[in-house]
Formats: sequence, structure tokens, C-alpha cells
Amino acid sequence: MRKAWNTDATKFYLLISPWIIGFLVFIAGPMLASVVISLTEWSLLRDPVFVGLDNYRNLFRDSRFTQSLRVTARYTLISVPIKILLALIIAMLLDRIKYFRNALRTVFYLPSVVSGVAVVVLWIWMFNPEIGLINYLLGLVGIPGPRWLYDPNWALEALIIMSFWGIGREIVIFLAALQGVPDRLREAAMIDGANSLQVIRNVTIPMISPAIFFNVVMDMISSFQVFTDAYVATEGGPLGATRVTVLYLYQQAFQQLRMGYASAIAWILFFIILFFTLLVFKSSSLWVYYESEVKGGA
Amino acid sequence: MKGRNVRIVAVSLALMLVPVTALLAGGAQEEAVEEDGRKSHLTVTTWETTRGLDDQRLIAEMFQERNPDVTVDVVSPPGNYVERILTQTAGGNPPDVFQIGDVDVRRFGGEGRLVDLNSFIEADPDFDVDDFFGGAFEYGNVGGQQLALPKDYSPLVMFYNRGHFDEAGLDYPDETWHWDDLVEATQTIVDQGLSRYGITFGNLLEDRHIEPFIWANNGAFSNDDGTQMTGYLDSPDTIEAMERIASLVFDRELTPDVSAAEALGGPRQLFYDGNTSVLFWGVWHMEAMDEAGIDFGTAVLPKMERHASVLFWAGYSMFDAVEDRDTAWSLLKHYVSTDAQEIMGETRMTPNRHAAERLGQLDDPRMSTAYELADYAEVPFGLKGAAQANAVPDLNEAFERIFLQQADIAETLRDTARAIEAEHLNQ
Repeated sequence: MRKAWNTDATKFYLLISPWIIGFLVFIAGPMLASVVISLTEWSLLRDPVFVGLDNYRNLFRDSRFTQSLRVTARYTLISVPIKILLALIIAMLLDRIKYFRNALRTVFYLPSVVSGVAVVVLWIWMFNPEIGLINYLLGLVGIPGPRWLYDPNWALEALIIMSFWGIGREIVIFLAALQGVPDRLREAAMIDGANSLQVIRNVTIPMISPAIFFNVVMDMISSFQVFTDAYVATEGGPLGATRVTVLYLYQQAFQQLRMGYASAIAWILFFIILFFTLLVFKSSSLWVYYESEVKGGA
Repeated sequence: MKGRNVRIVAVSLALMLVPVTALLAGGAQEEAVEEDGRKSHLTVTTWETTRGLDDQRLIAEMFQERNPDVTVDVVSPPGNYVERILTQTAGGNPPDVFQIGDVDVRRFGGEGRLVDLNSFIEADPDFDVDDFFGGAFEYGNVGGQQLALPKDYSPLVMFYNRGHFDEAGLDYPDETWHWDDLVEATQTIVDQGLSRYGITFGNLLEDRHIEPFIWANNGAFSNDDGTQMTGYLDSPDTIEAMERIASLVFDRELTPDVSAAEALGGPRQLFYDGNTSVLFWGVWHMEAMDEAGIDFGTAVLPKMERHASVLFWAGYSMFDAVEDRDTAWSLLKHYVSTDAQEIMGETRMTPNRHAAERLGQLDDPRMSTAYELADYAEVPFGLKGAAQANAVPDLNEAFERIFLQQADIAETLRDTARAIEAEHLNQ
């Protein structure tokens, strides 16, 4: 007879306990604390003062906050679809080639493991209007490049282009999904007279739709939370053109010493992300195809 | 199989024990400090690294030798310094004596967390305010409370490349020079192909690098107490001074715009590489300039209607949570003493008059100009209070509009004055 503690359940909880402790101490605890902090005025230097919902009320009168939401929304709306499309195209090309696939996969993934700050510094030089590589290349084809990070009309676009640097993660996920699509399905479609585009549209895309769904959700969440690029490259400038919401949160917390206000921003952002994530989840029944569900239903 | 399970459980237990062990070890270390027989233990927190940190440790050792019943730890936290101080404080473990910038003296002081040192100064017969250069000492005074003692400082100085002036056959700039003289001279240098640019500002988008030139034209960002900007930021004198600077960038192209300066490595590098004849910045760059082998001189900023400059300043404050304030005062006083400042002043300007004399800085023509310029320094808008400090990012957006978008200067300054008053000053 096994002792009461020597069960699979005990072992499971014991093994997972480091994560549970970490989650409770470093994530759930601070999250709950930030709810309380968001109801206070707190500079970190003095004891917090309870102000009820004032921080939330003030947020909606704060033109900089609404501007930061607009900037973040624009960043997400433009960057996520392009990243998904680019990653998908590259993954499909990699899936087609026979040689050096693994090497190329590594090459495309490598930028994702480089430190964020180092990458941003690199891009700052690439975007330099005077000596940057990008304007040099544009100049070769007769296009006068913009002033990028120094131009309020182009700075956010520069950050969006920067974000494409890290599509290696999406590529690897798409590639794995593509390699899981059975050849017999493509062959059957071609025998039925489908051309390449029709095969991609009607066979490949539906078969890898769970991977697309996963990448869309993850990219959307991470782009709503973008911080490092704007913090290092522009500090939110010029003229607030790249002041994304998390950067504004940081500035309120540590530069203006308004920790309660910053916590309120964090919660508003949390609910915005939650809303759009649920929206994507809800819509998934319309466009995400799970083979197991069909099999189970049959 | 059973043995394998036991191993897995043992490993997971060990993983869980790691943080617990670390916490216990931390506690043991604290105890060790208290058991070494010394009565008092203080920390000095600084943002300095490398040479600056070594100097501060040396000064702490000197203090411990003179005060064997006190231990001093000099701490240089990694990452963003102010964030660390804030989170340390929020976590109930504020620093004792700590290095502080001039803006944060106002912010931390505004929250009432810094000890007013006036009572210590008045009661201490060994401490003489006259040992310090007036302007440097005053920067630590907020509303009559002495919230910090000066550590080091620098006025905004004009560095000029002597080689460029020699080759162009021009006299070196001095205190008689008007703004127009400087523009004319540097234009000559650029026209002769001796330098790509004539005049480079430390940062065209930052209030403190612009404000002295506004004062020099009898303009101002605000009234004396910083509570009103309309009529000051948008006054004809302020607008005229801004137009003079903007014309250097956009009309004469004597001054690189922000992106051009960055493309060439930044304002400092422009001067190092001989790409600009004049640079407005602080004296802490002098050591590196000497190491780079540049033949340079320093001069007071050129006048328009009068001379003006501004200080960049750092000090030491005492946090109000310190229990043994008398010992903390002794430590604070020691850090700004002549002996300590002689160590720190080897690489920078010292606020301590006697240390400056001992180091021969007042006889060094380049350094003495900086001390002379400090007398022209005025209190910038961002140091007139916590609300003004918080308004500085909005003020700097006006400079972004002017220098990045070539926005209309008068209109931009007028709108900025109104917006800052509404958002920050009339609350």
C-alpha cells in the first residue's frame, strides 16, 4: 500500500510547486497589489493615500493617455498582420526547399535571441537619416528617405519595421505546422484540379490555422505591451508619436512618481488586451480548423 | 522506478529550498555586520561607477579610519539609479546618505523625505558654508531648506577648438564676445573648410541647454518663482533668442540638427573629431578631451544682452529614515570636506573652495573660466519646484516642434506656455 503522500498528485504538485510559488509571489501577488495601488495616490516616497476611482476617472480626461492608446492600437493593427504574413511567406518558402532548411531556420530564428536593447541600438543606426543603411538603399533607387525616428510622421513606422526583426519565432511555429500538413491532402487537391494558390488557400491555410491563431494571439498581446523599442530608440518622441501605453505607464510611475495612476493604466491596458484576445478567441470558431474536433464530431 | 521518483522529489525539494537558503544567507550576513563590534552602520548610495566609485570608496575608508566605531558601505546599484532609490524606499529600505541630482532634490524634498540640514549646519562649529562656492551650495537649498550638500557641479561652458581659431587667424573667444562675434568667427572657420560645423549645442531638445541663451537675451521661460509662463516663454526677448538659435540650424547650417549630430557620433564626438569648432557643454568632458589629444580652450558663453549660464549639479542628501542622524551628518560633511573633495576634484569641478585651490584649479585657465562662469548661473525653470520639474518634458516638446518640425517659434512658445500653466502650474 502506498503512503498517502506518495501519490501521483502529490508528486505533481511537488514538482510544479516552484512554478506555483513563483506565480503567486511574482505575478498574482503584484497583480492583486496593483489593484489596490490603482485606488491610491502614491509617489513611492510617502505612504499611499486612498483616492477611490479618481485615477481611472482622470485617465479618460488625459489626452496623453488616449494618444498613447491610439499609438499602441496603430502599432498593433499595422505590425501584427504584416508580421504574420511575412512569417507565413518565409515559412512556406523554407518548407519548399530541400537543402539548408535547418540552417536557414536557425538563421531566421537567431535575431529573436539577440538582446532587445542591442537590436534597437543597431536599428537606430540603420534609421539614421544621414548615414543609415535604409536611406542609403532608398537613395540608390532614387527615393529620398524620411527622417525616420526624428520625424513624428515616420517614427512609429520605424518602430513597426524594427518589430519585423523578431519574426523568427513565428516562422519556426509556422514551419512546424506546415511540416505537419500531410502531402496526401495537397496531392488529392491537385489531382482534383486545384492550382498552387487554391491548394494554399483551401488546404494549407486551414490545416495550419491553429498555428496562425496562436501567432496572432501572441503577437497581438506582445505588441500591446511593446516598450523596449520606444524606450530606447525615441523615449516616446518626437512629439509623443511613439509614446506607447506601457512607456506612458513607465513615465508616470518612475518619472512623474504617480504609481497609483500608472497602476490604473496597467489595468485599463490589461482589460483592453483581454477584450481583444477574447474577441480573437471567439472568432476562432469561424476560421480555425482543428482536425481533432472534426474527428471527434464524426 | 521508485528510486527515480525519490530522486525527482529530492531535486524539486532542493529547487524550492534555493530561495529559502538565499534569504537565510542574507539574514546571516546582516547579523555578521552587527556582530563585528562597531556601533553604527551607514550606507552611501551613488550612481558613480569605475573611477568615481573608487573615489567614493576611498573617501569612505578615510572616514572609517577617523571614526572606528562606524562602518560605511558604498553602494552603486545597477540599472536606473532613481528607480532603484524609489523601489528601495517603497520596500522600506531607503538609503542613508545618497547621491542626488538637482531635479530630484526638489522632487524628493517635495515629498518631505530629505532631512533639512540647516540645524546641523548651524550647530556644527567645524562646518563653514563659506568653504563652498556660493552658487554650488545654493543649488541644494529648496525654499530655505538645505536639503543637500554639493558633491560636484559644472556650468554650461563654451569649449572651442584652438587649432581652428589659429588656422583661421582669429582671436580666441573671451568674455567680451557677443553672440554675433561668435557666429561670425565660426562662419569664417566653416567657410575656410576648417570645420564642418561652427557651433554645437549639448542637446537642442533639452531645456537646460537652451535656457542660458534665453537669459542672455533678457528672456526667461517663466517668472522668478516658476508659476507663470505666459508673458515670459512667449516674450519678444525669448522668441528672439530662440530665433537666433534656430537660424544657426536652418538658415546658416552652422549648427547640426539633432539627427546630423547623432550621425556624426553625437555633439561630444563632433568636437573630438574636429567637426565643430565650438561646443557648449559641462567640464566633466575635459578629462576625455585631454585624453583624446584635443587642443581646446574654454570661455564664458557669449552674451547677447548679458552673460548667463546654468549649472549641472549633484549633491548628497540624508534620507529622513536615518536613525543615527548625527553620524550620518558627520559622514555627509566628510564627503564634501576639503580632503574628500581633493580626491573627487581630480577629475571634475569641486564645490569646495579649498579643494579647488589645493588642486590648482583656480590657476588653470581652462578650469578657472568654468568657476567664473558658475557665478553667472541662474536657477533653471525645472528646478523651481516639483510641478516645474514635472512640466519639463512638455517644455522639451516645444523644442522638438521647433528643431525637428521647424514649427513657428512664437506660436509654439505661446501654446506651450498656456498648456503647461493649465496642466501643471494652475493645479
